[in-house]
Amino acid sequence: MTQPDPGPLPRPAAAPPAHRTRSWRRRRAGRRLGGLAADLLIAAVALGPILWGFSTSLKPASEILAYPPELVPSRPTLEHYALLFTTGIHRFVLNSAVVSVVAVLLSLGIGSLAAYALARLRFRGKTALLFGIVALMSIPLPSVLVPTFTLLTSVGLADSLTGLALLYTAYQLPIVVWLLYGYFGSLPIELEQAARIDGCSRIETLRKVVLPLSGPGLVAAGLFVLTFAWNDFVVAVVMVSSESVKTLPVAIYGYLGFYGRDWGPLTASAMLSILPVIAVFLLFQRYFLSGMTGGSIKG
Amino acid sequence: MTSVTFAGVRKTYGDAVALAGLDLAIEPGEFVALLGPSGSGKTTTLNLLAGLIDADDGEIRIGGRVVNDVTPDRRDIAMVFQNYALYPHLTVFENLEFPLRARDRRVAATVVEAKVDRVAGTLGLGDLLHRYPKELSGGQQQRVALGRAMIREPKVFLLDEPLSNLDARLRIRMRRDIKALHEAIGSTIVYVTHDQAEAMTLATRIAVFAEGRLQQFASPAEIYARPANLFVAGFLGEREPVLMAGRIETGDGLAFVAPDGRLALDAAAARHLAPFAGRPVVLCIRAEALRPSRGTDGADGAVVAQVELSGPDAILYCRLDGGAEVVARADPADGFAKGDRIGLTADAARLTAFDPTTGAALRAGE
Repeated sequence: MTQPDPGPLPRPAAAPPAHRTRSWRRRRAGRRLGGLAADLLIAAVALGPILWGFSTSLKPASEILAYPPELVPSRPTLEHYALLFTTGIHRFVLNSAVVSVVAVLLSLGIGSLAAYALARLRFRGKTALLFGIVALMSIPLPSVLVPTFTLLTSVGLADSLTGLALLYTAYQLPIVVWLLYGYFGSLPIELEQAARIDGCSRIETLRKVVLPLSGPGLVAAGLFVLTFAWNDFVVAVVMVSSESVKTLPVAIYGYLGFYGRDWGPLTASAMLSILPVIAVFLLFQRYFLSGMTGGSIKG
Repeated sequence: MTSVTFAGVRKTYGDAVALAGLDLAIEPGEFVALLGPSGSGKTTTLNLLAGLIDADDGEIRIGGRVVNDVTPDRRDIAMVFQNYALYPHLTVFENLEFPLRARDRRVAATVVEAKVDRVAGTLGLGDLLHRYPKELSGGQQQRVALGRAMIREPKVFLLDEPLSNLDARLRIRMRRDIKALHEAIGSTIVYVTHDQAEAMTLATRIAVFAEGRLQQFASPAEIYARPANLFVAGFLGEREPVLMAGRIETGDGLAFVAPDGRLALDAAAARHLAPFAGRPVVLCIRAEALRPSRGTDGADGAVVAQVELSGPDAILYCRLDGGAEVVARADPADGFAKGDRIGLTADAARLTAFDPTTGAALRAGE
């Protein structure tokens, strides 16, 4: 961002202060240019593949692999998107949506109870429990996939949406508990004491006072679960095999089929899968940021 | 109207003793101030009564019922917090109705409205019912907090430094409002404060705390005139009293003699001091216990070192002939000025003697 030169400023006759000299201005301009370049680079790295995918999804199948490649398609078409809907992609979208929403609700419900207990009750082993939760977060997901699959199979929940939703909840609970624990702890305890004295039980205090004041914390935690559940490929591809319970990322993977790569539908469905998450983030952006800073913003 | 009793109540945090064996009996309908510096145990006492913390030992009763194991929501109390603790996500109306709805889910809307209207009317909140707490001034928030406590007509009101966040003028006005409130509703009120003026003006009895112990529990007049120990003597009153170590002597008429000064005591007025003649004492001398005069006839000589005008009184900082510094109260109309040579007569009835080692008040017949 460069700013228009404000023109010569009226100056006293004495030598200008050090921070107004020409060399200082040059350095400042240099720093700004450098910053801008870095921002552009980061944006290009992050957005480049998405833009490329979007461009590809609009090209007719015959031109996708054409050389030299076109960044802006010369003959844009929506045929791949149309194909997605005729082949029933909405079923996978619905599967993903159901699993994500259930996982978000379950992890917020269980997580807020656990976090409140950790934040406000005194009990033996609390510190150990907190450390345990942090430790759980550091276990890499792939390392538990196989045992989880065995477990899920033995309780009859493999290859089902219920199993997936429960797994996502289990994987994301530690971070949800940790985020909410921090947020609850930052709320003034007098509000809860007032509610107790006014006649609320513990659970009513949580419901009527703590949760309504924890919007940003709940949104931040919910978004963590949502993006994980919506985007997850690894867990779903291991746990789910039937067509009827496939989630969107697994379905997209299907376009890298045995008989060749359908780049058009692949990129088109990938674009579709990005949209809901972006929409939700834009919607809750304000809450998300204040939630991440641990309840520093309160009414 | 409900009594409140503490019997041998103890509370410690690790090695720190917050409250060391409290015995306190509050009569139904009393307005009791728990007064003391920070860390004296007064807030611990209030939180124990509210059920926000658990006692290690001893028994707490509200209206004869032991409440040690009763959760706060079942103690039938109301509390006003120092920072008001208004629910920020609720309007004034919703804040006021909160205690009614929390207790009884099915309470009729008309009943709630009638009660909220009445309380809002009493406290002048009628126009603010739709506002949120952050849209109110400090004084208005304070009144909403009071209203939320009043609405349920609880057995016992607990107030935790409710005026400390208000400016000085507003504080004095709210003091009067709280006193009027007590007279109107007649509930038992327990009021925590570190401000001795608040305690003196509001309470029917004051419980003075220091270092986790109850020092004295008596009426404001009694506490001021007959402090139980040096701590109480020093804590009460607008300005610190002068404490002088010396001896009561009977030789040439009754007198208090210190190494650096001497005060003659009228034998009739000093009857409560006479039994301690001959032993070392610490004498507590408040400004109003010394009467300055122009002549030095029959009075102890002193020189005015400084004059301070405090509204209706002139406060004279004087040096006795022996060198000791004392403070006396005078009428500003008398025109005492710095450097004047004056006489000081001790009003012996207003002097209290303390044991120099224990700090306890020395009282005849005890």
